[in-house]
Amino acid sequence: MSKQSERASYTDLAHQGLKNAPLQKGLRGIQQRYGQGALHIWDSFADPSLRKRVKAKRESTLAHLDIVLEELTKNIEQRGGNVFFAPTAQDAVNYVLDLASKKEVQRVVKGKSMTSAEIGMDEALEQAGIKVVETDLGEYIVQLNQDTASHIIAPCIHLDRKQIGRLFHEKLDIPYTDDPPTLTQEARKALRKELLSADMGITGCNIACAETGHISLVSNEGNIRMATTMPKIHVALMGMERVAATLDEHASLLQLLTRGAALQKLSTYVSFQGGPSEKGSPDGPEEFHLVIIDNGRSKILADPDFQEVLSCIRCGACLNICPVYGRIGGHAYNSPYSGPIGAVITPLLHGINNHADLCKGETLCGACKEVCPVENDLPRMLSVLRHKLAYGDPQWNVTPHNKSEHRFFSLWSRLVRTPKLYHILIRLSGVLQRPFLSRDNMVSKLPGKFHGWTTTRDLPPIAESSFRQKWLQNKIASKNVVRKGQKD
Amino acid sequence: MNNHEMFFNKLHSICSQNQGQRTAATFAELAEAHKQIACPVTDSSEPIQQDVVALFQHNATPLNLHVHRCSDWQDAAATIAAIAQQAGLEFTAQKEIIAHDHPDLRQLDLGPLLAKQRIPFHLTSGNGAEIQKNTRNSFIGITAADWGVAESATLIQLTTEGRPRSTSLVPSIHIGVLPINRLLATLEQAYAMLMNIPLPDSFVFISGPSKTADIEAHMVHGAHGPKEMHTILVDTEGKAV
Ligand code: SF4
Repeated sequence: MSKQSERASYTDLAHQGLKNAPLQKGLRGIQQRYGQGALHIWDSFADPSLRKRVKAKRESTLAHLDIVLEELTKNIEQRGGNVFFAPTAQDAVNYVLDLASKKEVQRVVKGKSMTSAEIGMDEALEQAGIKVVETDLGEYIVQLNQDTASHIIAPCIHLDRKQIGRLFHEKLDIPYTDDPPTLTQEARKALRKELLSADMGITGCNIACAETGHISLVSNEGNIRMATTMPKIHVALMGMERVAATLDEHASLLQLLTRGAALQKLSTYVSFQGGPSEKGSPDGPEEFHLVIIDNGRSKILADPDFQEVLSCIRCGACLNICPVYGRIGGHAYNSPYSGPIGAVITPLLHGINNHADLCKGETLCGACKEVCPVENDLPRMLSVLRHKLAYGDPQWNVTPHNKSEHRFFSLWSRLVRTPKLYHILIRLSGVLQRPFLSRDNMVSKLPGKFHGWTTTRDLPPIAESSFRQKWLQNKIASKNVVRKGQKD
Repeated sequence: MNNHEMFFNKLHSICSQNQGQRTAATFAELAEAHKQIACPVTDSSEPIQQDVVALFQHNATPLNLHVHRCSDWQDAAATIAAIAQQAGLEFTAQKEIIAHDHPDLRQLDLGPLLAKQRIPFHLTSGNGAEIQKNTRNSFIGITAADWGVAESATLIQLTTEGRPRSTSLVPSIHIGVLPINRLLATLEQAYAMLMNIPLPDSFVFISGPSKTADIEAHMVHGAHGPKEMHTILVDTEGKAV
């Protein structure tokens, strides 16, 4: 994205997150309830291999994505809908801008969509002089705060009710209150006007269904239904992988999505759209446009190491269990996609070197894989990314990330293969370490370039005598005992 | 090459390389192959419940969805009139009600009943602009559902003539009406119904009133859709679907 050059570093943002008290409280709440809750639901399934089979179907659909998208397109076009394929983010943005200018659109209402954030849709519309209003309550708050989302399902968990109260007081000109029902009611009033008067509704797409030719959208608030019912034009932005081949596959993905995201059997609304509304209908859009976006996804699809990640249904469960996300929050990831899924998908979409910190920040503990409704092996993919960063990879345009680290480990590898030199050096270090030992006999501050190793952890000191020395001494001693025994 | 051809060509060459998983050459073949992998989502912690109405009620409670079981259409009409009497106003200055123009709801004969309370009553038929205006002026929207799903307390509505989408969305209170003989136990059964009919451009699953928990995970009902929802289950004396 455009703001990359001026963005703050992962480390700085992570530190800010750790110090942000409302964020910490929000993260604790969401992780205790939803992360654990999702695991509990999977455990309660009558059929423990269900998720595996859903994944198998999902992967089969991805392997036939050309056929599946052709079917989806055919069925939507038959109902009079338009389908456009956007190779890049810019192509998608241009398509929507052209459409908006042709139809003289002045006001756009949005349903929560990460794809829209990925391609920078809002900024582009605003630059074209079009008013854009986010209508999901969390996204609306984030927009008023001129901020970005910090969770893929709960965008404003970094703000508490007091901050939101002050924000509404300032921006909506209402008396200060920190009562969530009153704040929600104020947003309801303000947004209702927008929803009833906009000329265009822009949404994402949770899961399309090729067999029937629909996209489907889940929401609890009803804003997405409003945004796809009241304006004359509905534009849906869809990452090209977000499609189920059959209604059957849709059923299982939908139920895993709503359970994984919010422990719900179904969200309040699941709405299906597959074209403009019929002539003479009192509501529904006169025009329906589906923009299917590649923007780097075909490259992921072509790489057997990463194609699995396209099975993701963006439920957010992996954020709700990840120990790293659970501490630092979403902003550190510098992307609409945060948490473990963000740590894999963001580098793949926007450059592996560009987002090198993300895969290194995760711990590879495996919790995300366990909780993922489609059992995505994110830890494996994080390791592959680390490998590419260590050694470089021309196919993904990766250059070795940390040259001095690389040099150090090459030297180290040569050293351990030269035992004599190694032992001398170890013994020498045993002496040299003395000034660095802390009172509790740990190395807690290394000099020069190595200090990073000890900023967040202590190292045990090198032992006075090595295991090898002790072994040798032991051997000599026991030989002596044996000899002594023989003499007696 | 046009936009679609370019995209499909590229995708085709990528997918063709996936030797392991690519087995079908056409969509029909793929759909057939998928049928062999059954994936019903079932939760073993669900109470085993023979009575679908009781199951619907059980699942409606946590959603803050009010369920009324009515013995016949007359009883249903009286229940609706009572709700209309008690409920307060939110966006409008006076009480008006709009209902889907559907055979089920015509049996309710609500007009005369509501006239007693001096509540203007509209049907979603006739001029589109008029329907829009009436919908925005109504504090209650009454809709006819195609099916209900007990395991998730859901109503499924197809958008067809006489049943626009905004009736269940714009008024503050939504009352969904369903004859019990169209109440199904599971979502899987509901999907099976959807597979057997030509689907319109729009349809929706509705499970309770609109809600949000975006502010400090505090649950509030009435985010953008109706803040109150009632489901009226009407006994149909075992008449077949
Ligand atoms: S990777 Fe899995 S858990 Fe994470 S968002 Fe995607 S589907 Fe959900």
